[in-house]
Amino acid sequence: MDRRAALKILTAGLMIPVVPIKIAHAAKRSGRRLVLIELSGANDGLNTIIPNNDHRYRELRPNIGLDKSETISLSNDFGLHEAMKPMGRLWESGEMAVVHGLGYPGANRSHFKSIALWETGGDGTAAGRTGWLTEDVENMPGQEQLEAHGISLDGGMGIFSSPSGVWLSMTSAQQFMELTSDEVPKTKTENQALQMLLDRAHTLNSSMESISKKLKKSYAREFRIEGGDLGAQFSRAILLINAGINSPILKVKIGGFDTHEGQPWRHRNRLRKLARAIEGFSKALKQINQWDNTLIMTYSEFGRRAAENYTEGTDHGTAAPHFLLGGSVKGGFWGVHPDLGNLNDGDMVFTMDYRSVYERILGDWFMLKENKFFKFRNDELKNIFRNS
Amino acid sequence: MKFYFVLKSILPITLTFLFFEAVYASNYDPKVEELQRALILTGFNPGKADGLWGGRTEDALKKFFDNQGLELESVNYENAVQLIFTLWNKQREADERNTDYLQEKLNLDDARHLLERTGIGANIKDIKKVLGLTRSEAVTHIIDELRTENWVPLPKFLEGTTPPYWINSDLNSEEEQAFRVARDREMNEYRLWWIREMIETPYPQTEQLVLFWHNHFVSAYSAINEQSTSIARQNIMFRELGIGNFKILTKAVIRDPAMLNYLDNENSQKGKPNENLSRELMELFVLGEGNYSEETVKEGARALTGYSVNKLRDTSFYFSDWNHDSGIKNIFGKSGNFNGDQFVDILFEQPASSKFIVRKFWRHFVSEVFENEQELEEISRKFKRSDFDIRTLYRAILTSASFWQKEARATIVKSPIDFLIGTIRTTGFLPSDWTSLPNKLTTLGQNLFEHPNVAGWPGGQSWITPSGLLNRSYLAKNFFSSLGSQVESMVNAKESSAEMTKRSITLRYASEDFLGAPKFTIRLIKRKEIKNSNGVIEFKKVLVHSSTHIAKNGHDTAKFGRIEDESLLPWQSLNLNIGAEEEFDYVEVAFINDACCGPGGSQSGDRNFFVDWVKVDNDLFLASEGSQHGNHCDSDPGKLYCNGYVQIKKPISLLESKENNQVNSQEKDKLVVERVALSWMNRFKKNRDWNEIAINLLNSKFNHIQYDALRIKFVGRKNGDIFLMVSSDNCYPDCFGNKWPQKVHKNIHPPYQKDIKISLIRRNNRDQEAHYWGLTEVDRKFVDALWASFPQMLEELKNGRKWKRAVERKRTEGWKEAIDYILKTLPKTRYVKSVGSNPLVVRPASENGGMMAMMGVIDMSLPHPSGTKPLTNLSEIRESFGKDYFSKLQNLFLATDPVIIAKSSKDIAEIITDPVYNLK
Repeated sequence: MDRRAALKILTAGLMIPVVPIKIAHAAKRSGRRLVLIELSGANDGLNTIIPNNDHRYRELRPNIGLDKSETISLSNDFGLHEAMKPMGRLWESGEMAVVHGLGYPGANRSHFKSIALWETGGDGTAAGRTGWLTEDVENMPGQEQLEAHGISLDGGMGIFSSPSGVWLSMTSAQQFMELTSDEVPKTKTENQALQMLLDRAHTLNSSMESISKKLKKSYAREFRIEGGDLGAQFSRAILLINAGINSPILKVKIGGFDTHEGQPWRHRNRLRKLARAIEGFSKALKQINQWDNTLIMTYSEFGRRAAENYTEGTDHGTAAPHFLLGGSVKGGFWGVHPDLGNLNDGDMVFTMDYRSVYERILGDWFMLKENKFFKFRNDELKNIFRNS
Repeated sequence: MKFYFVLKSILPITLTFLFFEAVYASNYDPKVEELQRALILTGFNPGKADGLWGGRTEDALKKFFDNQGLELESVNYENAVQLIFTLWNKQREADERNTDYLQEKLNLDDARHLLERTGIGANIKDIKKVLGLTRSEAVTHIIDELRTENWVPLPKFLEGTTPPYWINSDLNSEEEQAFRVARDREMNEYRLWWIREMIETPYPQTEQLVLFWHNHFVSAYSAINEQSTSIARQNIMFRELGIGNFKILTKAVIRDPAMLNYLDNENSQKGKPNENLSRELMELFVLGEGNYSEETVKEGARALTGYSVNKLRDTSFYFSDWNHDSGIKNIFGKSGNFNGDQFVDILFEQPASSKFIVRKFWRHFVSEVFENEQELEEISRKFKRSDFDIRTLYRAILTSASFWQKEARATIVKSPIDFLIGTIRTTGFLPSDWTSLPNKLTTLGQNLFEHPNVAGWPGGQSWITPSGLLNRSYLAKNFFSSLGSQVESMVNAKESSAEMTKRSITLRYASEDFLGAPKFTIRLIKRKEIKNSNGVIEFKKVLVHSSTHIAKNGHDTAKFGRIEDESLLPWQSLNLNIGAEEEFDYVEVAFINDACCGPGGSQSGDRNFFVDWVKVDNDLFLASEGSQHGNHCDSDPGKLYCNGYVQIKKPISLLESKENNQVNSQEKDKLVVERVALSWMNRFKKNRDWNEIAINLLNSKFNHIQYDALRIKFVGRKNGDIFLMVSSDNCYPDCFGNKWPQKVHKNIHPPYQKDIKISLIRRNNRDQEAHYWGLTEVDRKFVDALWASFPQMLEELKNGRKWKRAVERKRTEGWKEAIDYILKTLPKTRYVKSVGSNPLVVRPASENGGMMAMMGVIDMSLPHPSGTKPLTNLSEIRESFGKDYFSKLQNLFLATDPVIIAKSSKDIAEIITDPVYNLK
């Protein structure tokens, strides 16, 4: 089998330094996909989308607050952290949506527990058991034509936790090159456990086969997206997409958002990397004609406290805004920014349940109207996708 | 016949449970309840199983001994219960005599089946023990050898008090980092300890059952603020109570500190109940989904309010009456002012309580693919009749017709533990990189103590993810790789006699491999100075430079990805005898051959080197105390992600630790503490009736008095009263040796907290004077010192993070007047007159206490699979099975016919690569 060679092509691209993106062979249009960006460590929303005209903002943050001149004005009321300038173009072209004040009842301030809630669609009173989209994606129409239900490019699999489905990680993709799976005879057996095992092995084999075949066919493109590790993950995502590998969910991660101290430079640095990587990714997607059917979404454990702490940082808080990006996204502000005059024990009160966004993604983006989060359907997000 | 009932002197965990009954009726003992329940099950009626030792229990026990023809002067608890259950097993065997399939004698397949299901793998020695027994007898054998104690001695860090989690929030970020590293080190050790236990124990059925509970009552280490000791104690609790009674076990779980933290019940209080524990108690622990209403979740949560943890007192269970909602709750049609225990009792009255756990046992032990409703019904009935006795359930499961049917064979997917540790136990072969088993398990989806979520590992087909399947196949194919030869050299190594003239150097390291393993060197450095016109120039002279070593047994990042969780690093140690005894100043360890990265960045491949510590003779150099040089990787000392070296200057002596623990004679009447930290304070308002500053003192010593943990409060009241307050909740060990003044103030609700108030100035307050004079002379002096230290404590507080936070939150405001008054008054008080002013001495800990313990313990020896010396190659393994079994090797390894390899294959390395080997 030539899988080894094929994957070498896939993996080689990333070690080669910056070369302009030039992708001659546009991949054939596949279905819609979602790219999830985990901002690990809990992004400080208040210093990402800045309420420029709210005097309380600067009272809460006398040292680490951004001056209006340090923001890119998005509207009369809100500015974007200047480090995110590369994303400004997406705002201008109306392809960047900001959803204000996302959170959930019964806020949990543990990184571990709260990210598990975002990953499984739980809240302070009930944790989830499986990834928030696994069930719906595994049952979506046409799923049998997918090579994988989802691929995690950072190795994190919590969001894909599911007893079934083909959910691959970066390392398992890597293993396609390193390891070979066994050729298993297509026998039928009375033993259901054994049958399941053999079926799984078959599915895996055909997945591996199909992925490596596609990679082999697609001409290797040498390019690189800036933005450190996140850029590298995006580059790899482009290679997969360009090869026409069908996987509706891709997941990437950027860490370092736990800014308890030295926030001004740390946060700036993170946001710059994030914005550059997103810009590079969006350009690449446009070139291969995949921008319109790709939806990018950010998420994070929780927001940070409204007031700064004494070490020029912020501690764990509650609500935060998140981004939705893509050629089919209707740009602008959605929802309501939390009222800085109405803090609950120093925390912003969330104005929208984050699962309302999940609901729109499953319901309007993937057209799975009867999804797991139906009861969180929220009119405030109506028509957030064009042509949905 | 004179009869003594002697409780075992060491019951480290169970006795700390503080059962409610222990409060209401101070003689309650869960161990006594277990004994009573055992007597009831065997027909010796001790009356009610109330956990109280009394005449009827004693009579019943005597009757039991008479009946057995035993005459005993004394018996300890474990033995008594063990003996009673031996009889119980005999009784059950008698019941089973007419069941034909249980009278069949075990053949090789049966033996492997029974052992693989109840234990971990199936070792030939164990197989031989049950071959030829009837199935009924074999089940007795398995149950008789269930143990409540561990086989391998527990790690030393579990001795003594828990780490000061209560003072953690005062640490600055560097200290906090060091604190976390220490906890990760403990977690790493405990995890490896458990793996060693599973490899070595002669009683693997105990571990399989502990694994069951570990995955039933889930708590994850990183979700409970890295409380290593709590997670370890929970694991020990499963071993102690996991074969007893399910209801007792459940009641222990709702007071288990790790669980209370994991399910957020610690701060659950009246008016603001947290529903997590209540919900999971019903959904995941006792009843199952669909067998309760949302309303019951809310009511149950109210019953569980106040079930909390006192971190100060050895991080143990604490019932806070203050936070408990004692109002009327409506639970399953009953109403009353229920507490958590009564809530549990009501749950166990529900029909689902005997069915839910039975089904889970079935899936764990009988089959994942079929269920026999009729048998399940029958087992549930037996289980309920025994009032939820776990041995009854276990025996009923193992003696069910389905368990022994051919159709049940090969119908459970082996867990990663079954797969990896089972192979080690079955073959007796130990891979040389066995300390990376935690990583291998993680790669296969079973990171011990880190479940994916509260529901635990779903098991079954979820073990067979794409990645899981590929990794299993890879690990099986390479299981007997040449690495075994390294074990061989370790197995056969003679104690090398240390050369007297050389230094003995031990390095503890871990590595991540990528395109090969890290290489490193160790250097001992002498600092030299020269003076010239420009001042002093410092340079270093390398006294000893080791040769280049290759890090062994690292984690292969190209195949398995990076180690995300640093408590999983596969630590190794290297011993060297090099260098003369010339004086040196410090140590350096250098990483010299970095390589990066895999496709997509470092996550899929990176070569890294980790240093934990270097021991040179009797000095320990901790990497976390060192500094990193020679590279631009921004990382903590000891984590070498790029070429460079860690330099460690300050050693901890492993010799002098004892002196440190003693107060020397000049420190008579001095209050010596390791750290003074603010616990809590409120803003001082004159019209508020209660203004307080609560202060935490870590490891305080005063003459012969010693407290691991102590919290004192300085209180100012509206009427002008100012006093010092000490409460029974706030000392560990017990305040004043539990000798409280007669007139002590005592709360009338459980847990009957006591406190004393000591006024700044004598007032016409008889109670407070009585508190003071009611103390022993020694304690009075101690209290004098506490008061007299107030000015110094105040200064100390200001260094900590908590104080800064209090300032930030304006909590320090309003205190000036009160504090000035105290400072002015204090010199004239009896307190300063007694011990003088400024009696406080703050002496930060030398790290060696904890490290000494760590050093003594880190067990680098090779574990012996199933108790025998590790085998190092395939021919040894074949020999170990003996001639009789050569032709039957497949029966020993596979639960059904292979699908890929030839049915005639006798090649063990090949047999374990067949897909069928994933099933048991």
